[in-house]
Amino acid sequence: MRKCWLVGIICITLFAFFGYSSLAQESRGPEMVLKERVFDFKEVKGGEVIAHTFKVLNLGDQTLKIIRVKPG
Amino acid sequence: MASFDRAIPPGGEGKITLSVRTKGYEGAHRWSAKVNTNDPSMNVVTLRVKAFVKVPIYVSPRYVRLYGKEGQSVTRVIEIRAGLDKPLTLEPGQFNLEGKVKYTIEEIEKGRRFKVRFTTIPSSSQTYRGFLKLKTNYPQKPEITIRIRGRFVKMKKG
Repeated sequence: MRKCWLVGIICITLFAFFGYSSLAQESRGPEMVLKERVFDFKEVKGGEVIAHTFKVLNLGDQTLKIIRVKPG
Repeated sequence: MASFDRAIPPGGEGKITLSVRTKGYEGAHRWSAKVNTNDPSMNVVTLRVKAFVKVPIYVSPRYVRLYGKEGQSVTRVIEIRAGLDKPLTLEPGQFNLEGKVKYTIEEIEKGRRFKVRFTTIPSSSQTYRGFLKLKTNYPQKPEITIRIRGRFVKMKKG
C-alpha cells in the first residue's frame, strides 16, 4: 500500500514538473507594445515639417518585424 | 512620410517616425499611418499625429465648386479669417472669370472675418476653371488665391 502511494506521488511530481517545463518552453512570439498611439503637436506654424518618433517595445521572445508603415 | 526599424529583438526597443509637411494645410488636422507587424495580436496598428496649423489667413473652404444645370444660378460662400492680431484688409485683385461668375466681398467682423460670395451668371452648359486673387495688408501673406471650378450640364429632356 505504501509503495502505491509512493509511486503515485512520484508520478504526480514528474507530471507537474514536465508539464510546467513544457509550458515554460512554449514560445510567446513577438509582442509589440506601444507607449502611445496618438501624438498632438498642438499649434504649429504653417509650412513647418513636423516629426514625431513613436517608441516600440518588443516584450515577446521572438523578433518583432515591422513589415510596413503606410501613411494616409 | 515614415521611417522605422524593421526588426526589433526580444526585449528590445525600436522606433517609428512619422513626419508631415504642413505646407498647404491650415487649422486642425490629423494624419495617420497604418503599421503592419508580425505580432499576431497587433497585425495592424494605426498611429496618429495631430496639429493645429497656424497660418496668417484662414480660407474655408479653400476651393469654390459651382456645379449645376444649364441656366441655373449657383451661389457659394467662403469665409476668410485673420490669423494674426493685426486687423486684416482685403482688396480685389485679378479675376479671370468675368462674365461667368460674379463675386462680392463682405466684412463680417471688422478686420477679422470676411465672406466672399460667388454667384454664377446663368448660361448654357459649360465647364470652366479660374481664380480670384485678393490683396491683403499682411506682409506674410500679401495675396490669397481662391480657385474656382464651374460645371453646368445640359438639362435632360423628357
